[in-house]
Amino acid sequence: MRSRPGGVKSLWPGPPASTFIKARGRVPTALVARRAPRSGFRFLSKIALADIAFVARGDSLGSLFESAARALTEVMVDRRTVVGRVHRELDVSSPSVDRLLYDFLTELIVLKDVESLLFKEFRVEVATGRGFRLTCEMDGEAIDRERHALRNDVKAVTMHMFGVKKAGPRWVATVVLDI
Amino acid sequence: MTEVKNAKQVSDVVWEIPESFKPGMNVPARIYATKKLLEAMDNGVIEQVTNVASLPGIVNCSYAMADAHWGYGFPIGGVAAFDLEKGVISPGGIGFDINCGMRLIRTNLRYSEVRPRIKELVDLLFRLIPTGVGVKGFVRLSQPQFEDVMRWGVKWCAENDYGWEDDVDKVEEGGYIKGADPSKVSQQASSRGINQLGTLGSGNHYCEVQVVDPARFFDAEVGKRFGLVHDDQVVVMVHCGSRGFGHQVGSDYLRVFDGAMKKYGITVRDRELACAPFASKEGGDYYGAMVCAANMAFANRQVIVMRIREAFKQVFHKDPEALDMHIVYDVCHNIAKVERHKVGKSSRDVLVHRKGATRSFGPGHPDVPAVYRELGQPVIIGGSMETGSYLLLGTKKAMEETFGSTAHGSGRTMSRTAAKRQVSGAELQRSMEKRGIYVKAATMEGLAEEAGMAYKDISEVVETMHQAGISLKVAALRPIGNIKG
Repeated sequence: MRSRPGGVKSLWPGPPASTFIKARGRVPTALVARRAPRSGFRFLSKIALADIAFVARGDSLGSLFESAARALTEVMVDRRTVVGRVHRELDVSSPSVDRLLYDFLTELIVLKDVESLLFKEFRVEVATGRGFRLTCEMDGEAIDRERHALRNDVKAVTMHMFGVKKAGPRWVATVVLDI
Repeated sequence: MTEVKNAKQVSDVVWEIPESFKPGMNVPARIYATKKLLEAMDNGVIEQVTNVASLPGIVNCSYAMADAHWGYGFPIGGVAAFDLEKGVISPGGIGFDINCGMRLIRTNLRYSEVRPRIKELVDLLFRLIPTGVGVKGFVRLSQPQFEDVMRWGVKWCAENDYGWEDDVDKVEEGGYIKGADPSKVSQQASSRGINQLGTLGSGNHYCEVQVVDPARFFDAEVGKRFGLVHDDQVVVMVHCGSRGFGHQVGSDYLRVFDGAMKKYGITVRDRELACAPFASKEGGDYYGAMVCAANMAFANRQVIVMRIREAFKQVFHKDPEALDMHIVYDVCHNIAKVERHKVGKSSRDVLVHRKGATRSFGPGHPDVPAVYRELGQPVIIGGSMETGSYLLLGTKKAMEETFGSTAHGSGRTMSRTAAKRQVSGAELQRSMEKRGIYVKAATMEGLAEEAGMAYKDISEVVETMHQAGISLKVAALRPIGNIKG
């Protein structure tokens, strides 16, 4: 079951209530929704100019992490060109919710480099207890330079402006990726 | 437009922000910029260069070079030196791409000889040098061999048929930094890096065929000493770093330092400035791992150089030796190193962080290769693929003012997202070809992100540092062919 723990300390004041890209299968610069959906991501064009920043949101921690994983993947490839041929599961534990997001996104970058895998869909559940733990089921495939519309080779998740916070009923994360 | 309260103009191109600018600053911040560059500099630079001035044990000043732009933690174009006992080491002051740097290789070919073959040459370079997302290199290594690469960098390459005998002499630090400790590198970092030797990456990384611009060959005498003997001589520039290996070392230790700061009672204004005392276990461990990544980056550029030599051999049907394809120099621009500098009235060892900044050691310095020592070191400044790059000369004044450091490139003024909104990759590729620059990119979106309009005017950046006496102009290098990830 996805849990919704409250009282996680905010590390960043949060994004303005504004437009978000619907996450599923959309490119970063197109198709901006008029109303903020319950989950999704939005790229921020005026932060850390050489790199790429985004705000992700979700109505639970699970959906927040799914949005963030989609945003990260969209930086590397147009997800519409990726097919779910390979199934993987991740199990990540971390002492805090923001560290859990950092560790989760870093795992996806590692899989890109070590096994040349990019993922299209993510189903994340987050549990709390002593610290935070997530399980993620993902479908994707090995990089195919002929078929995939590849974009940037993400180097790392930075901690610049990094944070996860609860904004009203939703969870919001800000992430700056080193490109 | 950036306005800095209380900024004092030290000279036409140097501005000082006093410690009173914000609470907690231990030293002033200094920005190298013309008034025009300063006004165009984003506020993030001011925020970040003054945040760095607040770190424990920083000495003299926190510096931003003329190409500075908003990075993460430190500004890109930032320089800071720390006391070895009281000071810190910060992964955010080095960058995830540890020892990202520039290498310049000369040829004895003239523009007229290369121009008719440029498409063939660039297409072959693109085939021989793996570029883009998640690529694997062509060097197969066992874990013990990879650890040798971590320890010995270019020296390992030269001993394993990936280099010429004199290559090591033309690389900063002789091709490897001492103090590498593979036991401080995580298994995950090794897994990310072991298959990436000889890969270019993406973003602003490139391999570029260039010509010495006859109209801007500023110092032909020094140029000659660097091996540039013709005013339309063809050279090749490589910009890349330690790939996933360095990125993972940075990520691993950022987490370690994020936790260690509490232990040492350190607070920072940005989590990306996470740091630990250099003299601590955490600081020492990171330094040992960081040097491994730095040496891997030297080796990465070295292996790529061998592929460049191979491409020229195939296209021009001459041995690379006959084409005089020697390295002019190789510089790091994301690094921290222990160096001896003047602090106050005396000289002592300090830990110099250069993040998007280049070493610019002057004449007579023992760390400058013997062949250049009398002059000063070559400084390689990489510009955008449209506007070109520069070869400069290190100076004594840099040693006195900036811990022997200068700028590293143009510096972005526009985000990647904004650049893509303004131009398409295909449109840019066609436009560049019309201007005599043949570019081959792994992705069209990536190409658009690197459009010249997204960067500052490199000539103004170089002119600023020249006017300040921190690095002196030798030659402008005009792009004619480029591959990028």
